[in-house]
Amino acid sequence: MADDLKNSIAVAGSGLQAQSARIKIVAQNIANSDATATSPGEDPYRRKTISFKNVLDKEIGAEKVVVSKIGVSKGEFEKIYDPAHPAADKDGYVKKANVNRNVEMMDLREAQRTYEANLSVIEVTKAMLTRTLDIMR
Amino acid sequence: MDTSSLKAFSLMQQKLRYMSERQRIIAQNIANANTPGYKTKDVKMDFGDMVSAKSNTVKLAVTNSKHIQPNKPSGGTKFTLIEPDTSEMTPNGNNVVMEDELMKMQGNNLDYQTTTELYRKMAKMMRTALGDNSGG
Repeated sequence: MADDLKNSIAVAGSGLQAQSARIKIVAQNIANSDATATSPGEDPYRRKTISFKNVLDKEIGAEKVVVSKIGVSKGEFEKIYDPAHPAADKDGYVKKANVNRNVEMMDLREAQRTYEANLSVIEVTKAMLTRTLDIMR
Repeated sequence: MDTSSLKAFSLMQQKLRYMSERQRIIAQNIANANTPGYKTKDVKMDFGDMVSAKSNTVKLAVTNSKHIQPNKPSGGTKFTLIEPDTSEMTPNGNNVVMEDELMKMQGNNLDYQTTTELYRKMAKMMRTALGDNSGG
């Protein structure tokens, strides 16, 4: 009984870890959203993507969440007309990182919401454990 | 003191065990709220079966060869894992509705509180019957 509750905390902990990894990736994307190429013909920062996977943890008998893959987005680079830029090509265009800040903000909010939900799971489970111990009093 | 109160203890224990199990499943659902392809799970226990199995100690009289006894009590309770339908499904195949899960968790928590409190009160009554005044 108490083991089930402890396992709940472990599962929620895996959720916290996964969501913080996601927030880290989002932060990286936003920080690099203004990056441009440094020389003509070179690619600027590519948006990083993260995906999750549910993995059965046999020890606790429940499915934890883990980061399955951190990839790069294949989206097209935005091109800005700036002939004075050192990385401008012969037509005067500069490649810019393929990060859409609105998408990143949306991702960030979703990660935050899930993180909070996992935190409340831990809180509630802790309360249940405390009550189990209270039976002895 | 008859055994019916002890039976109540064992019933409450089973309910607590069920709710701990359920809490684990809800934690799993919430942790996987953003996992592509993950389907919401829930755990089900047949309480009706449990009660009848526990309280059905009275035997029916067999005065005719065509009389039959009610079903034999099944030993122990088991939980079954189910995949309930939910109201939403995201394009990546995940159908966890966060609000539902949080509501389920709070309901579970309240039930747990009720049952542990009941358990304590029962134990207190036992102590009172044993003449332990400090426990009251």
